[in-house]
Amino acid sequence: MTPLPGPILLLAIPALAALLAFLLRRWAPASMLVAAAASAGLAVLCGQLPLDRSAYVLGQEVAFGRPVVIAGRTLMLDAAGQSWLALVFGMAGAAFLLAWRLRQGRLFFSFGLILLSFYALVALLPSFELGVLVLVMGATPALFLMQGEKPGPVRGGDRYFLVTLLAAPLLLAAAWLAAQGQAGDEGVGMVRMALLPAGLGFGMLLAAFPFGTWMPALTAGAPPLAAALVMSVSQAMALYLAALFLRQAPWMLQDSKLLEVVQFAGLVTAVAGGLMAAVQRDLGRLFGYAALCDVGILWLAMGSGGSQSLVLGLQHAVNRTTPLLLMGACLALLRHRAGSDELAALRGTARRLPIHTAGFAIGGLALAGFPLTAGFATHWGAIRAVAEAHWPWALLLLASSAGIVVGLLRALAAMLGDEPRDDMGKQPVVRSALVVLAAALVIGLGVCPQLFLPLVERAVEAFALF
Amino acid sequence: MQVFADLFGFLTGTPAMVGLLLTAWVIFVAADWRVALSALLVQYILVGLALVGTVQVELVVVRILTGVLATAILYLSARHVPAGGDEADEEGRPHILGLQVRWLAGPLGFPLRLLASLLVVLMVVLVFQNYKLETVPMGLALMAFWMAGMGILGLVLSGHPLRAALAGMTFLAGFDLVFAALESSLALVGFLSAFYLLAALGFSYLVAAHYLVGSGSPGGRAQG
Repeated sequence: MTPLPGPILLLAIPALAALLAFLLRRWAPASMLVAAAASAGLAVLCGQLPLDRSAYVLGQEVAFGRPVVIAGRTLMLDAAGQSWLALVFGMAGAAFLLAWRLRQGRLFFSFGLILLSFYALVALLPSFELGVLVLVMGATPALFLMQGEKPGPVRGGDRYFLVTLLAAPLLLAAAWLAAQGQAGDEGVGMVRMALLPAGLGFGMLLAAFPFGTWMPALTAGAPPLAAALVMSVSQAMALYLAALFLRQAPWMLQDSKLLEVVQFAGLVTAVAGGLMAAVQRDLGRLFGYAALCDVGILWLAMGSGGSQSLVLGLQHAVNRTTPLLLMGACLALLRHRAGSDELAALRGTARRLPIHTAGFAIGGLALAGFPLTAGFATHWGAIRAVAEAHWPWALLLLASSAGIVVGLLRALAAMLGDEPRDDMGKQPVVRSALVVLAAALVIGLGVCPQLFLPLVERAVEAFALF
Repeated sequence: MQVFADLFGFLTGTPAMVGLLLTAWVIFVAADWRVALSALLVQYILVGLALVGTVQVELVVVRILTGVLATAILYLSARHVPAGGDEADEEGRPHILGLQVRWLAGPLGFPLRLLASLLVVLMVVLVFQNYKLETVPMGLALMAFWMAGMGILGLVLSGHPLRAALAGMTFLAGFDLVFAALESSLALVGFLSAFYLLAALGFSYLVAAHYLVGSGSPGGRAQG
């Protein structure tokens, strides 16, 4: 029997699961199980199957690394794409699992899976340009994913959509300039010309300030877990494209001026996010600004230079997923039960829903880089790298982290209130257990931050940038 | 047939460029969505005509068809939204060919929009002074800068998803004008077409979602 090629599996499984999840959309638990099983299964396949030979999965021979030609294009999974997809499918699987009986909209699971099939195609396509186009095309299903229970404006979704859309021409122009620079006589000059569109394009995709304002707008209006999924998975894929682009011009990682600009963008993003988080009056925006601050750390990690910058950046992208999803899951229940996520409306919520309140706080602390949480190790690494050259920047970063903590303390003070809310139900058992598990993982990653390091290193090594 | 061929040959040159100049401007200043959307349709056809001689005719046809489909997708949403935007039809206003005549288009009135478009003219002149790219004909590059500038300005000033959609599609069409001259890969053209169609679908969805809440009818169908 002919072995099944990997690319077919990676495209067909999410697409078929999306169809099934869509048909089952009125039975949310069944839809969730389909989505979580498909994502987790693909994460395991990407993490375990060899690329250079066939392997048997449930009695079926699978050739994971075998290329497939569709409409004249060769689709093939390489080692970098394989590791990256393992992480992305894993993140999505966790998001689907946490959405157990949380109202994230009927299209959350089906369009989440469609988004994953777009991202799988990004990793399978042979060229950066086509990858950019497919990634940006994913913004359309992401819009449907962000739609809640009732039809309405996708707050923040429109900003996300526009910013993502505008990134495509810039990145295509950058790729063309970089390719001309490599092929022609003008060489480095042309590649340097590519820096501006590339910087702007990736700035848009990776939500550097001021392009990242869609994040708080999104978390304020869209279903929180859907927002968390988009913020974690889409930005991880944008990082993948950034690594692909750097493969064309690896000297960029050694250019000190360029790295300083990247770090400065990260600093501004982190400080803006942190300071704004301190003064928010609703949990949704607090979540969004904390996530924005954390994106700044991602930029700082990427700009820290040397062979470890991409490892640090990807490690941060992976580790931040857990607190993002944890906060998203907790916010979803808190918002649903209280009918609003404004601090004034949440009085007494913490006494009724202590686990979700604590989960939200732990996730927030992780995004602030608090010790013993998932964000600490990479925050520390990025801040240390910055402090060597600009110690005042390190102080500003600490201040931005403090801003998130202040925001969380204000939220906790409001949520504790004077007495418990009688109009609110008690902690739901299964959802609380899932939140406890996610919170344990956030703390576990603080104690053992290298949990995903082998996979991250494998992904970075596969790019062969150094 | 010869008449059509002659007309086609005539339109591919300077008339297409002038047409692009005008359509991008009309999309930005027009108060009525039907005028702006029609201008977008004409713009896509003119983009195709402007590219004749630079890229293969088959690819030109693909581009025009994509533009027509994208406009149709936007039209399907826009026709359900009263006035296609944030201003409702007002009684007593004069009408020409069934279209209401008014100054206001989005958050700015016509005079301010005119001034803003003059700023784009200045910006394009400034940027174009340092133009060096020999692979793209000057005319195409000039029009691309103009359309991109008008698109960005429209995005900045748009208060309604439909206006943002028209501005965004103008920006993308401007980019396509230059990129088509640089990249002739068939796969890239195909993916770009899919990208434009999905962009139109996304904008269309945003227009509909925006109106559903504005009308206060959750899930309800809007009035035509």
